[in-house]
Amino acid sequence: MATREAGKKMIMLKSPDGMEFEVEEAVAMESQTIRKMIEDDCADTAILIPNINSKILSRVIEYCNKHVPTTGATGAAASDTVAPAALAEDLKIWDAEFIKVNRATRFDLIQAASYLNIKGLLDLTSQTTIDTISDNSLEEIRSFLSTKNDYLPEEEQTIRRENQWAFQ
Amino acid sequence: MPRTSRAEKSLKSCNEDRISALPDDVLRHVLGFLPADEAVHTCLLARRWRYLWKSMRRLRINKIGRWGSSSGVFLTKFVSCMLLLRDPGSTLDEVEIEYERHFDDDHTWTSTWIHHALSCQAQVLTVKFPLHQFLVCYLDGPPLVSRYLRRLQVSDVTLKSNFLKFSSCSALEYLKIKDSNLETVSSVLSQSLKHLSIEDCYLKNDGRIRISVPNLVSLQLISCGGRVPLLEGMLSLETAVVRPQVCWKDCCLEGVAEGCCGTCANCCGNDDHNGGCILFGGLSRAKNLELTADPEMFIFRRDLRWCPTFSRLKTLLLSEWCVQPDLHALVCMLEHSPVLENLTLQLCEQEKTIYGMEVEENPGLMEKPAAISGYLKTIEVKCEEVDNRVCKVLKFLSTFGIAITIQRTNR
Repeated sequence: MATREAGKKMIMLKSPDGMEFEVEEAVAMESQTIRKMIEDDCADTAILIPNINSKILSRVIEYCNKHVPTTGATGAAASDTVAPAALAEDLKIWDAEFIKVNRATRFDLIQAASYLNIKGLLDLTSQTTIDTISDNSLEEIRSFLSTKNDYLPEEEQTIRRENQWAFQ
Repeated sequence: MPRTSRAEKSLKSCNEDRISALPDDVLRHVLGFLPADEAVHTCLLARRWRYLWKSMRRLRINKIGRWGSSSGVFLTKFVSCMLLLRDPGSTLDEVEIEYERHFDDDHTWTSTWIHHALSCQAQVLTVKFPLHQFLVCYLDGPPLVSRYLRRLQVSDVTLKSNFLKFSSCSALEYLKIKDSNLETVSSVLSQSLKHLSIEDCYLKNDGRIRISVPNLVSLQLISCGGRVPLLEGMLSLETAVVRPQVCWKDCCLEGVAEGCCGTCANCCGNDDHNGGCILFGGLSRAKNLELTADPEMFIFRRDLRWCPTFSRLKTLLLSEWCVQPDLHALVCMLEHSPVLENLTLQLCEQEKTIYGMEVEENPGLMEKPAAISGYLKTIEVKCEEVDNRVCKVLKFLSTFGIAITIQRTNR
């Protein structure tokens, strides 16, 4: 889109392992954390993203690139773009492919999405995680999360009684 | 860098899910994606999880959970406890209530839950009761009050008179109502609303529902029974899809079959407001407009008497009603759309023609209308068969000197 080409401003993102990524400002601003830095004028040259390695950061940028609105400066409601429903469907399919990663990567993506405050990515990673544990017994979930049951038996009884309304 | 080394470690043992290592804030977010009952049950996982559910960011009380075998009494108690036992002051983003079961006559609770969710500052609220045959769930009570509510979706419910007055919901931008009964609702009021969709609902039959949403950007009004609503001005409107059902009360009182006598109370716009358009006045600022209805649609033709100038209209889709009984409606719409670029006509088969009058009986209309948009560049005609009648319409359109695309649609 012509307007987007003209008004394009680039931002440099640096990962702690020394990689640099040049991205459009609009793409970087998908992250509310970065948006705030830019708006507060703390982003003149390069932004160091402290705890996200280059492998994860490049995936996050890939996500933001895909999800940045294509409307340019006119704002969110883009009625001129053709068939928003089709566009949303396309994004959904893309998301499903994007999130086909191993658990460790997904975990890193959750943390990155949370730190960078990218709601769409946080929702996507959360939903995918939940899909894997939903409908399992507590014991299964525990082993899945590698969580140890540190309650004493009587404590567990108390909690059950406390929340009896939630157990049939 | 500690993070990197941790990441490496977990790459070695991919079996380990490190969700428990996430900060509480992130867990509260993740937890909100579980069905509400399962989310509460995580209190038994380990100490760390004991109270997390009390501050999770969203509540999903829906069919995905284990509600199948639950009694209505259990459900009502569950939802009430879930809401009331939350940590006061914790952030609640979203509440989704979707029951597929009857819950006796406890539906009165639903309104209370909604009001409570709003007092917890919920921004997104979804209420659905599918499979309730007679829409027995009433959403009632005083108008909603919230500075945070952005998005509201309701379906399969009966809305009572005041429910759609949103003067006290200053952040509400998105409202979707589906498969619901709005027969006692006399108006939809909101200054902040940007997107409104009303689909497959029963609207008011005695008088019209008044839709007063001056800052709306997109509107969908699809297949609603009852009388066609009265749309007030919407200066920022971009896109509107209006596909009303024909209501037997929306007709010419003189009984001239599907016509508009121009003298009776209904035809003069003298029905329940001060005269003028019912739909077109509110739609006149739209850039993209889809107006589809059966040929019996009285309101569209009636509104043409006061036809406003669609001063920003670029893309227009019309159906059968605009070419029956003659091309008058089509010509009128074109003459009032000075910057139109794309026109689509969606025509059904000839057998639906119920008028004695046929297109060919208006030879005077076969010439290019005087004032037509100079920007018009595409014309598309969608039809099942290129029959005699479609040919007449095509013949008329061909006088514009613009290439016409014909698309055959399947029945």
